[in-house]
Amino acid sequence: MNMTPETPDGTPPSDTRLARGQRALAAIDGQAGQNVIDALDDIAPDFATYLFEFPFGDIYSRPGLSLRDRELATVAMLAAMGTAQPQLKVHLEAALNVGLSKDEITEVLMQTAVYAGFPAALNGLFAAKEIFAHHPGTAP
Amino acid sequence: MSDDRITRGDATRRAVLGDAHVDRAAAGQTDLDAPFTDLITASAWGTVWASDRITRRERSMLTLALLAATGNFEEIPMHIRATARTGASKTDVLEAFQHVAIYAGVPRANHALKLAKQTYAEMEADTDE
Repeated sequence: MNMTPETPDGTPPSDTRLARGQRALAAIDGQAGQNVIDALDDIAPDFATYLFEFPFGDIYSRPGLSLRDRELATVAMLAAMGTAQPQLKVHLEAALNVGLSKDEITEVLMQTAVYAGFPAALNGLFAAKEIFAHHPGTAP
Repeated sequence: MSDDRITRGDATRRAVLGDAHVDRAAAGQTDLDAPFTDLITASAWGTVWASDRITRRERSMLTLALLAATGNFEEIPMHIRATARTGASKTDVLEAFQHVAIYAGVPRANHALKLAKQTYAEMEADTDE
């Protein structure tokens, strides 16, 4: 049985979770993801490896949901948690990277108000406003 | 811990939760939780609930909203029962949970209301007996 999932772009599975995770993080989060990895270098470089391997090498690389769907869910979860503002901003960048529009992201954040309360949704919307300002060319 | 805060706390706790509840809790107490009971009697009951700077009705509404918003549902029935002594009406409780829906999400308010309805039904059944 082949236990190795395909990578998001359909290229053949790589030999290691680390390599697959590095490719997935670059494709999804781009520079914002790399900045997190770089920031871990002088405090917990092993943690950067775990971050590549599990979330990105295992979970995000699974078939079954598109990266667009995965980012839709991730943005909603991080906003609802209310304790993950820096991570939310990274994934708002990622959501734009993988093809979500600003309008779609705004809809997801508005829906957060129903399940997690208005403050969580407001904080999410203001984080999105900040990120969107750095992406003037992206579709609304 | 000062004795008068514990004394005042015990009186306040009995006035809010009722003698039956406090006597039942005291009967179940062991060496393990006796110091904890002293702590909450002196702080929650002897200091916060004992203050008359806002009314007990208002404290009841605040407490129910906080319990629901933080997901501490286990204590909601006890505080619904306490409304019979604090003077918070069903409307007061509903309005508090409306705030929970807005600030902490609809599911938490929904579950809190369900617990409130069950508890009110039990309270009404008790008085019918």
